[in-house]
Amino acid sequence: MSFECRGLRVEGPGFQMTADDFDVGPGEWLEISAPSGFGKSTLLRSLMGLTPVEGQLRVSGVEMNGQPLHRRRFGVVFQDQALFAHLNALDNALFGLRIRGRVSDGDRARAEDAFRKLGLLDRIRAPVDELSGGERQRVALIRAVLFGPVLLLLDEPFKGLDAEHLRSVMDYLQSFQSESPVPVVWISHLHGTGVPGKRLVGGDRNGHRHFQLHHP
Amino acid sequence: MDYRIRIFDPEVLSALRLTLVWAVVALLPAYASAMVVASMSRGRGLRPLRGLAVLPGMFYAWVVLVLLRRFAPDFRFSMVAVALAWVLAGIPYLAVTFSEGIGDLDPRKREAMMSLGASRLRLWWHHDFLQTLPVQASALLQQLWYILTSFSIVMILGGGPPHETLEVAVYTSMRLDRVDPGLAAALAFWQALILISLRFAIRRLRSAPVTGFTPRHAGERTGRSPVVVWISMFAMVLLLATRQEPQEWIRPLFTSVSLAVLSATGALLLALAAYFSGWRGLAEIGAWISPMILSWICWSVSMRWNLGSLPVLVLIQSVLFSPWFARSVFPILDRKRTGEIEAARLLGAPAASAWIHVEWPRVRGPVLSVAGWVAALSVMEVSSVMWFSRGDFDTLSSWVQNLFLRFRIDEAGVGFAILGLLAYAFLWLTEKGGK
Repeated sequence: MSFECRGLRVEGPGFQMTADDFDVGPGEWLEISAPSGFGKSTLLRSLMGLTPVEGQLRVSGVEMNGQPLHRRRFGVVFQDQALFAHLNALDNALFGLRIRGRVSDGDRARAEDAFRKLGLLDRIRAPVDELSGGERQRVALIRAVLFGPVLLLLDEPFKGLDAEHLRSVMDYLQSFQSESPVPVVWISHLHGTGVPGKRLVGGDRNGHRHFQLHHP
Repeated sequence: MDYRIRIFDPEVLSALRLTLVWAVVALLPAYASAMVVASMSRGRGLRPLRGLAVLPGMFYAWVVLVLLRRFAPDFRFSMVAVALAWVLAGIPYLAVTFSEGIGDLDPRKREAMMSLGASRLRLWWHHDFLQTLPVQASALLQQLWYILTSFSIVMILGGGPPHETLEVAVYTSMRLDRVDPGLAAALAFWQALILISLRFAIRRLRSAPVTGFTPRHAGERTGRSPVVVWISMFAMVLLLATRQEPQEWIRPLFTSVSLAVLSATGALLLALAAYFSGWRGLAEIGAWISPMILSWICWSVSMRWNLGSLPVLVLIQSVLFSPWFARSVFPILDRKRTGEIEAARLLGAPAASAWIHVEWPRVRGPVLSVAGWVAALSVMEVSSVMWFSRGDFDTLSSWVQNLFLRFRIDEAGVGFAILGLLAYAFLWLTEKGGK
């Protein structure tokens, strides 16, 4: 699976934003970085399809612009996680599978395995409002991955994680990508996370905001 | 028929003056008593009052009638008796609402005041009283609506048309032997103008929204009051043992339950349709229009479309009760969980499914809670049934009212007990919803 973006242009209230054309191949990572308030999350939301955008967005050659949200099959971690407050951690994680039909025993086992790997097994039935920030972040990540997405879009996925949990999350994502090498586009709130890959770096160009592609 | 709307007709102004003067006379003692009860209870121990708050006006009318017959027979059929019934009916409702308002306040503020040395009186003034002003204002507005649209109480105690308060005058002008739509519209105009002006004045003076009564904790209190159930059960067994023909009340019981369920569903659907069509104000119409005018409009519709009495009654009650859903459910729907909806969509849920999975679980509790309350009100409602059923059918409450009118007080008392049990069962729903 690959992700291609051509002629991207986003219009917001009082600003416009463009980006260099880019490709993210199977298993590759693309980091979006820019100063606070520049519009990183707006750019990511436009890739998700939540903000109107001009340009071509293709996943494995299939045009995504105009596709209904629920058919895109994007795994997403939001900046504020957007966990479902009325469900517990496990039900949140299984939501993407449940909405597509019955959840099998194998799915449950995979979910439990993910919770174990991310150090959350004892919190698996906890209501989400009882989880800490870091725990919520990990549940959101499991939810984004578990249903088998074709593209991962992650808004500050490592926020609130200490070094130990950051490592476990990275291991989990790597093991997922070794099984399903999907492209990952992500926003970092840290510098020097050591995640290899291309970068889209925000800056000013002719009076409007522009994300320029940098190769590693 | 005279369709000229005569706003300043002497008959209209007379009904307006009569209603307003006696409304103030009735509101002040009810307000003061309810405030005392609420301040003393501080959000606890109001279970019996909760049950009394849903009883229909005719209950209070008959209590006053019995009391006055014994102690002050000259006042039995006068506006003094009507005002007394309004006071008695107002106290439980206002006390429960005020008490809930006080119970919802942050106790830490009270503790902070206490630690700073505030006296009990200052605590009450600065914490209980001033902090609950918006709740008091909206409850008083609701009570005023009740008084302005009061029908059964005036008919039973005021002797009907001799004391033409606004709603009774509307009824008189819409009777088949004297249809005067212009006069009725003028009366309803004043009724609505007063209520809408008050609502806007309160909203302007206080930034807090006027939400009206939300029966959030209703079931919590009724649910822990089994004595009500036992008394009602006992009454029911007594009735079954003494009466030869239980079908006499089984049919009204069935009609009442059906009407209650259909009306609660209809009111919810009306409110939701108004909300999602962008005409949310429509859901509030039942709060500002005279029930008699509303009944007359529905009756006209029924004649035009040849509808049966029962569907029209469902329509009337749905319109009358949809404001309860609007006030409880709309604020929740307004606080949309956009992020969660987006997450659900991206996880594969179509729009409708995302709403059902994300928004409905939040709305379900309040919907159930209000549905129980609305059904209890529907079971107790009498005026529109009497005005409308035209002898086609009896609900349990109209059946009980008829027993009272025929002075079969003992049977009426048993009927009331069954009615209470039924209302209690619906209020139990509010408990389920509140959890």
